[in-house]
Amino acid sequence: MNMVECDRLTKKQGSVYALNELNIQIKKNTITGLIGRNGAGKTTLLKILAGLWKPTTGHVEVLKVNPFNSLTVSANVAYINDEMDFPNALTLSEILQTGKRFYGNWDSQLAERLFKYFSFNPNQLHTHLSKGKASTFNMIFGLAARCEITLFDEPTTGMDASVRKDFNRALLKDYLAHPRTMIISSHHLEELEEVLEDILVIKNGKALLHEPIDVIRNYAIGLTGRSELVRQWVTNKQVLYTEDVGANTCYAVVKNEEIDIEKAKRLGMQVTTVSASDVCVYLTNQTTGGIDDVFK
Amino acid sequence: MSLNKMSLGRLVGEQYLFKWKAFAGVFNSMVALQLLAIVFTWGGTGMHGTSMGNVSLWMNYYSTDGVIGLTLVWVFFTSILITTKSYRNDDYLFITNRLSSNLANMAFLLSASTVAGLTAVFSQYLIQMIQYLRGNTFLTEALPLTTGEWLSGTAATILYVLFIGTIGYFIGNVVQLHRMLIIIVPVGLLGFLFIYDFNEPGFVSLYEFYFRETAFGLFAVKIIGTVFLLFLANILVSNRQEVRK
Repeated sequence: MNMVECDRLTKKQGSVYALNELNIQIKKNTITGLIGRNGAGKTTLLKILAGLWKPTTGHVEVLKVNPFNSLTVSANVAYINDEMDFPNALTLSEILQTGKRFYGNWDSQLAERLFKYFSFNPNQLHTHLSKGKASTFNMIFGLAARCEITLFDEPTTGMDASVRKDFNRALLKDYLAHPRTMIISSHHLEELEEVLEDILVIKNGKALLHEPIDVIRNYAIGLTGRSELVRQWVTNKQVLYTEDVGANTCYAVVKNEEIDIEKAKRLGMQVTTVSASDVCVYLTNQTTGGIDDVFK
Repeated sequence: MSLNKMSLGRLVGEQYLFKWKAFAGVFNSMVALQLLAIVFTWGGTGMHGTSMGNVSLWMNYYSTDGVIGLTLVWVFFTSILITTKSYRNDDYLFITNRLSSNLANMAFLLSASTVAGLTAVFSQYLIQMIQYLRGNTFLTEALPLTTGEWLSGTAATILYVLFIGTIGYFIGNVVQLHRMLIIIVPVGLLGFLFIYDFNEPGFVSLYEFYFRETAFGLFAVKIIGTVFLLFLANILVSNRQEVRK
């Protein structure tokens, strides 16, 4: 069953297309990583799915209904981002109590335990939290709300490395105990890779790739060798990235299809795997060269 | 996982209770303004003196008009305030849609108007007490209002506060429609105050329609009817609005 369906979803902001005829389907009970560079349209997509913004054209369905202004969607979709400004009249523990009053599936026990684990002060105000602490608190709120669909928009902003690790584990454990549909956006796949099942890569408002993470891991291979040889070898293939790595040596990342790896090795080229996170970086680059090309 | 079901009625109730907490700060400014207005009545709100031969007569007026006036100013700005981004977005942190958010806001405005109207009316006793302590015992010896007069006076005050609050809430919601309106609406209103001839028959009859009605029942119907229409307009205006921008 699809929890989210977008058909030629377009969102125009001023003269810029934040989303441009985006087509996606997200299945029930999956954790999807929404990966894209800054300005690719991640936040726009999530806000439309949460029913906060309305699309310019195209069709969108969340839980089988149009999300904009829908009570069903609001009650069953938690949208967590770093702009949540809780009112200053409420302390952190009062915010959690309010959450319990609103969300029917609210998990007080989980909220309390995480609250203690991350050593929050119940009487503190949300505005007085540091960036990382606020992100952690919002994460607790999002997990405890236990909504059918949970959208995390760059949830780890400002978190330090150990909190980030804890966040991933908490997310995974809670997901295993209470399966639901989650979409987590990030511009950096590496820090989330261990929890994700599917990857949705978007670039310039379009879905570039939507595959299980294993497919992405085998999506491309890296070839290193004498420049002319590598260049000749990769013509007519889909090249994701090239880089000069030394005098007369070149590294190229190509899509892993119709590549005769054995032959490449025999010709003296080094064949390496490319991590899922690197694949995403190369796919979302605007050009096949890197920042080095700017300084040429 | 089971879907979270929330009826509109229950949701509005929860949001209303939430607003009492989240918007509690607005009552601080109300108390401050009303106390300020009470202080202004210290030496009387009006004075009149005359003398005939060797008799001179001084009259001092004491009234709660100032308190009520400042309460109206307060409710106007407060109801604009609750349509601004940070207050509006509070609802969208939890469950809501535009309709339920509007209903809860109106319920809150109604209660806030009741509280503000009541405290404004009760300020007369504080004023009397202050004057009594100053040795001015005339006010406390004056004929008290009958229960009927007191009730209709209080209800009328509350209705005025609600009326102005609803107008403020509507202006606030209209302003939120487009960034340009943040400039256009206040400038337009101020310009209107300067340029407009308030003796124009259209305005005079409008003024008389709302503020010169002597039959309380008819007055209540007019105010409640207008509030209701403005409220419907609010729902239409905000129903397409994008939030958490």
